[in-house]
Amino acid sequence: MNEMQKRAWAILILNPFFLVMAIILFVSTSDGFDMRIILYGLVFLGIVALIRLAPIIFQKYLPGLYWKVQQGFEIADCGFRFWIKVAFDERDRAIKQRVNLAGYVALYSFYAGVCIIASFILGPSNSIPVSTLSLIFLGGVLTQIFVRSLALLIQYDWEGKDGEK
Amino acid sequence: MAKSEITNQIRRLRFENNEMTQQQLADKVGVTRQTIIAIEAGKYAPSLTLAFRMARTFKARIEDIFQYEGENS
Repeated sequence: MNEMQKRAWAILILNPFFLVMAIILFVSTSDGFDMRIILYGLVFLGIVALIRLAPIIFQKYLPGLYWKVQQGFEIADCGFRFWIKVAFDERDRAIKQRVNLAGYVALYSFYAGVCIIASFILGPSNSIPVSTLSLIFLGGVLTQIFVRSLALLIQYDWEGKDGEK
Repeated sequence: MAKSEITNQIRRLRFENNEMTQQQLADKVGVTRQTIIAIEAGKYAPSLTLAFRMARTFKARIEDIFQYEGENS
């Protein structure tokens, strides 16, 4: 299982947890709108973002380690392949491109769906609170992260440590 | 992931080349073992570059390693 798969599993497990937590907080504070809801949402998003940014942080503080992993193939071409294990290759790159596309399609669909449904429910001359926009934004980001992780695991065929299911 | 129309003889060629392991082949051609497993199982069609690397590793022609099983083959 490579780094992308590990992150995808973490997100698939953590994302519903944060979503449930957000719903519980929303319901528990819903007698009159509370700005804290947005704050909670941003905190959850921040935690998810930290998980996603972890490799970049590692790349900054342990550049050699991450560089080796990322550039193993190119270094292998120079004759140093005996001391570097390739961890990211052409198949991983192709899968990454496809899952990014799936994520953006999900993001676009979510925003389009929310806009269309809102206009159908509220009608042409109604309005929504500005604070709802933040929740829609967070929903879109979480959807994108979730779909991307799901697509990644499907692309890897739900395989485990050594390519075994 | 759907199986591709390209079949291969990688498993046989590995055994004919001193029972080379998947990891050894992966190291020689510069990919992960997962990719070798996916190629052997017909779940991933490698790039031309990778196919040439494999051919060079096995000292064989590409068509000896990969066969196209699609229409009019």
